[in-house]
Amino acid sequence: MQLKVLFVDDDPFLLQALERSLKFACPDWTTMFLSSAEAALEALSQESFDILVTDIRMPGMNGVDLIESVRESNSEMLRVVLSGQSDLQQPIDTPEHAHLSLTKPCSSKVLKAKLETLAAEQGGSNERE
Amino acid sequence: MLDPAILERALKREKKARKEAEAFLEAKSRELFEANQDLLQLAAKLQQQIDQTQTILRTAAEGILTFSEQGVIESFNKAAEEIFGLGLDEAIGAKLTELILVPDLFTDLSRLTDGQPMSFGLNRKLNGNHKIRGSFPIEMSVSAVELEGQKIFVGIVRDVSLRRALEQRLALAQKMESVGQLAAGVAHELNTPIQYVGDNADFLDNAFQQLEKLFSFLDDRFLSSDESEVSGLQETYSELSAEIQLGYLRTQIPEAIEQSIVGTQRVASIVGAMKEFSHPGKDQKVPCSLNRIIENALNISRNEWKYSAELNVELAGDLPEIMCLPGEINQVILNLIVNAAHAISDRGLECGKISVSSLRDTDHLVIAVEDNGSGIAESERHKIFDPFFTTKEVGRGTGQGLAIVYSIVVDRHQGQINFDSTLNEGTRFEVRLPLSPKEAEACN
Repeated sequence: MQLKVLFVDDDPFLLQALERSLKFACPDWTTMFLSSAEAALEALSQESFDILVTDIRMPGMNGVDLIESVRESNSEMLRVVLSGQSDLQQPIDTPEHAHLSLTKPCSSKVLKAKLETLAAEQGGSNERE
Repeated sequence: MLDPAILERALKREKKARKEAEAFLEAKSRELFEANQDLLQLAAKLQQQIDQTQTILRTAAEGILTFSEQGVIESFNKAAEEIFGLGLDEAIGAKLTELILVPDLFTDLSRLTDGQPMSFGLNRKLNGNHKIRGSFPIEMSVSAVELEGQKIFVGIVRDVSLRRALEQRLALAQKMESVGQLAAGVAHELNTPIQYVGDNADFLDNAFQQLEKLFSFLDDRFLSSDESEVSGLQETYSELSAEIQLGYLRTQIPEAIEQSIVGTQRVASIVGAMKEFSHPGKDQKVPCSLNRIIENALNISRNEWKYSAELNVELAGDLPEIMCLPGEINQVILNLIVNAAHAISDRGLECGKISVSSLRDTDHLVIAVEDNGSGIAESERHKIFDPFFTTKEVGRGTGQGLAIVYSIVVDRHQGQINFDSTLNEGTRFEVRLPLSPKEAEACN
């Protein structure tokens, strides 16, 4: 499946490793990796993506606010959380308007399967009820 | 010759006087009897009161003992017998210093004046010596009285083993509470490196499969004896290299390996710090590197501050090791750092700053934790070390943190803790731990 995915996380090692593993796991995808929500908003004002995958806790703007702010501006884009929060974390960190919430660690195989399933299911009508 | 009439009168008078005297005597002896009765009653009452007082003293729940200026025990109640495991006959005449282990007790006691009690062991550890069980923690207050020109001391002794044990359990509970509060953050800290180590491993797996194509090509050609096979080698090698993106693999593989090693080290250091922290530890001081303890605490708490504050760490390089309870000092630093992070998020600051430093001040090691957070209101400054005092909302702390910090620093390490705070500007906590003379010398 061809997908254009934007990944946002404040850890550069995590982004680089994702890029490496997805290069083999999802050779058909077009990907971009950015290290802040601010940079993501900037990129999203220039081009569109099928899916946004963001971390929650980041310095500056956090993932919850990023998801909130792209919900209007890029309403066609699917919003996915990939965070290190365990179930113990306060519910305040769980964004209301994400289509999917994934927990680190999530292997590239699982990530590929989850995102492709989501894209197939939501394709066309991806506003969450 | 006497006139019989006069005689008669005289006799009458005599009789009357005798009657009066008899009546008087009777009244007096009645009075005497009554007074005697009263006295007997009083004596009985007095005895009763003495008995009562003795029973009270004897059976009081606190150990009560009296001793002379020479420290010889003169009386000893039942509770004292129980506390020290000694019979009354063994205790009377014994030296107080055999029962209570205070080297400078009598220097202190010589300062005692009438009616001014002095307490021992409330803030400083004071140990009693049980006949069978040996040393145990006590509290004692002593007052001096002068009886018949002799100065005697009255001591009230309390066995505080149970309270000390409860205090230790409370300290452990607080530690577990902070572990609980940190658990989510620690999980987050662990999950990120695990994520990228896993991704890198996936990549390396695929990369090797690509390289394998190159290796088998090289094997085929170089091991072939056919000359013509070798002739087109360069061209095919270039083609194959391009196909498997050899250049990309050669830059990414070492990076993936290097970052994975960093990631596993990161996981190992967090897990190690967590293990060291959660370990209940022995109740015995061991020589420790203070800087290592600080780094440990920073490691566990990273997730608490990394999003809100910039950390500045200045650790003096030449600190001597210090005898301490490492798990407890770890908890002190951790509590101070977590508080600093909370103060910064309370102030809603974008550019929070936390400075952690260690240094040596002659015979003390000093740890300072400073933040530019919300500060402590003047009205709350005297309460911050009280147990259960908290300004935090439910779930963010039960108000045990600084109380535990205080008890660890002051009671368990004979150190000091001071703070400076300005509302809306920040707070600086300073913990001073004394070096033993030997430790202080080791670095001089």
